[in-house]
Formats: sequence, structure tokens, C-alpha cells
Amino acid sequence: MKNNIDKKDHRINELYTKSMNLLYRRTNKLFAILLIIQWIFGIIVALWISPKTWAGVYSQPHIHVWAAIFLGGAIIIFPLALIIKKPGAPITRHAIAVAQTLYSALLIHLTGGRIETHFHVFGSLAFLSFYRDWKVLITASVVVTVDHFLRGLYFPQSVYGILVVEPWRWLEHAGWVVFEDIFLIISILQSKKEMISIAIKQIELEVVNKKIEDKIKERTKELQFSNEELIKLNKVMIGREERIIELKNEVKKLHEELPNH
Amino acid sequence: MPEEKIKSKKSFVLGFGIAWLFLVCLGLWTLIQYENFPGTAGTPPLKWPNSSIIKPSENLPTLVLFAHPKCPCTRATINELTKIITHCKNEVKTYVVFYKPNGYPSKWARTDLWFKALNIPGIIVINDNGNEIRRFHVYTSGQSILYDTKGQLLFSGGITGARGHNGNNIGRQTIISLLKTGKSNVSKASVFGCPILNRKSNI
Repeated sequence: MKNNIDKKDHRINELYTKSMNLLYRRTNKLFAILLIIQWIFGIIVALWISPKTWAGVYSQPHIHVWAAIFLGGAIIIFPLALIIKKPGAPITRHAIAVAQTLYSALLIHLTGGRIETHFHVFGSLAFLSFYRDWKVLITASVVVTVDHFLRGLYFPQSVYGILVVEPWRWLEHAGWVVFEDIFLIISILQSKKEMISIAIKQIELEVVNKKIEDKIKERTKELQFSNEELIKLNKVMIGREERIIELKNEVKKLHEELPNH
Repeated sequence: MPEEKIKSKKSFVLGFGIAWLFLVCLGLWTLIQYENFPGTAGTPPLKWPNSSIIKPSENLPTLVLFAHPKCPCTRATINELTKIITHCKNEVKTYVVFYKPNGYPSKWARTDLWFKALNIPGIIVINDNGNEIRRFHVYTSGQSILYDTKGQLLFSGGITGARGHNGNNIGRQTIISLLKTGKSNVSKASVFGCPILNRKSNI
């Protein structure tokens, strides 16, 4: 009995792990496309908003253009390599989380701190929840929090528009990230429960299917046996019929011979 | 694959990851440093220069913003100026002076920034070949100078918090405070933008 339960648990674990691996690989592909599109988008934004820096009548390419091409490229290259080489590994998901949030920071800089670009952070957290791995959300949130903490400490004017460092202001920004995280994590845990439930149902289906298959095999054997018996009987019957015909012919012959005597 | 080789491979990937994170963060930090590095602050005269062709108001404070028409960071400055005018409508006379070098056609200066400034209600847009820029000792695009009705300097500085960044900033808050209450603890702010004139050739 214990052996059966262990086998069942093992099978549940197997199915669940297989589903999660498929999910990771599928989400990796989505992120690979997204990271590349974002990189191209960043370059377009830099070329459109701040293509050149000027001094009088002289100009040269703006640092934003180089940042979009090279820094943006550097941000995405490591996670892309991991997607190819280690598609199911946790380090891949975490690297993507870090890259996605760092890219949010870069995009915000490229667009001149536009409020609207900050939505990219919250959108990214939602996309990262596709992995159904709450630890990935924590990684992304830590990156956002550290970014705000450090910039609030060293460049408070650029983040909050004030000269004086407010030591706890970063908590307000982090708080909104945590707010979203709570709901996403609840959703992730519910989805995982559903996946386990699906795995259990699949196993039950497998058991039922196996029972039906076994019964079919049994019946098929029985049918085969009956068929063989029937064939044997048929042969015997045919043999008897032939014998009867032989006997009839002999009797006929005898009849024909008898009147002559 | 033997366990030792797997461990070694994992360590390699982790080490590479840490190096990647460090380099990327260094790149972002460099970008942040650039964006928070102000341009050369101008030293405008404490009293309105009489030789200026820009006429100050006698009834209202006068605000003059100097801009390079092609400076991408000044886009945010113009946005911030719009917010100041929105808050302080009819409380200030405002000029936006765009650099237009001699020998260049008008359309050189008529960029989206130029038209954006022109569309702000009540703003007077002037093209300047550098004379007024030098008269007011302005070096960096985005420098805003506020004088009171007596021609005394009240504030000189930028009205953005970092290069090309919109949002709350000391310059905007100071100007609004001065226009609304006549008071402020601040009289200067960093200016974030391109050099208006090229230092070597002064054009």
C-alpha cells in the first residue's frame, strides 16, 4: 500500500516537473523575443529623442545612443545565452528578471524619466509572473528597490526632485512594487495548486485507462481462446462431415452392390 | 558528466553572471553620473543689463530661459517651463531665447523645441546669434534667469532635476515660490543641458 502511494507521489512529481519545464521553456522563448524587441526599441527611442549632443553648431552622437546599443546589448546578452544553453535552469529565469528590470531603468533614462515609462516596471513584473516562480518576482523587486535606494541616496534630485536625502522615501516606491508582488504571488501559488490538481487528475485518468486497457487485453485473450476453440471445433465438424459423406458413399456403394446379388 | 565537472560548470556560470551584473551596473551608474553631471553654471549680472535688446517688464518679474534649439535635454526644460507658466499665469513675463548662429537659416533654429516654446501661452520667443547669451553670461542650454520688477536678480539656474528629466526639481519649485510668495531660500540650481556656444570657437 505504501509502495503504491510512493509510486503515485513520484508520478505526480514527475508530471508536475514536466509541466513546469515546458512552461519555463515557453516563457523563455517569449522573453527572448521581448528582450530583443526592447533592445531595438531602445535604440530607436535614443535616435529619436536624443540622437546628438550639441555645443554651438557642432554635434556628436549622444551618449544615449551608445548606451542603447552597447549597454542595452550587454544587458540582454547573458540571459539570451542562458536561454539557449540552460533553458530550464533557475539561473536563467533570475537572469531574465534582473535584465528586464535593468532594462526598465535604461528605458527610463532614455526617455528622460517619463512617468509613463515607469509602467514598464510594473508590466515587467506581470510578465515575469508567467514563470509561476515567486522567487523570480523577488529578484526583480530587489533590483528595483536597490536602484531606488542608491539613486535616492546619491542623486535624490533626479529621483524625487529634492536636494535633501530623505532616508525612507525609497520605501514608498518599493511599497508599490510589493503591492503588485502580493497579488502576483497569490496568483502564482493558485496556478501551481491547479497544476498539481491537474497532475493528480491525469494520474487517476492513467489508472482508469490502464484498468480499461487490461480488461480489453483480458477480453481479447478470452476471445482469441474462444476463437481457437471454435476453429478446432469447426475442423472436427468438418472432419466428421467428411466422414459422414464417406460413410454415405460407402453405404450407397453397398446398396448398389446388394441388388446384383 | 562527473559531479565535479557539473559543479565546476555551475561555478563558472555563476561567476560569469556576477561579472555580467557588475559590468552592466557599472554601465548604468556611468549613465546616471552623466545625467546628473550639470553643465557650466552661468553667472548672470545681478542687475538687468540695460544694453540688452530684451525688454524686462516693469510690472511683473521677468523670466528669461536660454536654450540651444537642438539640445535634447532642453525638451524637459521646456516641459518644466510649461508647468511654471501654468501655475503662474499672468504673474511673470517670460522670454525664451534660442541660439541661432549667424550665417545659418532660420529653420536651423526652428526645431520642435522652438515650436513647443512658441505654443506656450504668453511666451515671447527670440532668436539670438549669441550676443544676449554672452551678455547674460549664460553657458548651458536650459539656464533660466528670474529678475524682479526692479531688475534685481532673484534666481539663476536650471529647471530640471537631471539631464532631460521631467519631474519635481528645485529650480521649478524656487521660481514658483518666488512668483507666488516673493520668498525662497534658494537662488541657484544646477543647469543640465548642452553648451549653447562652442567654447573653442564661441559659436
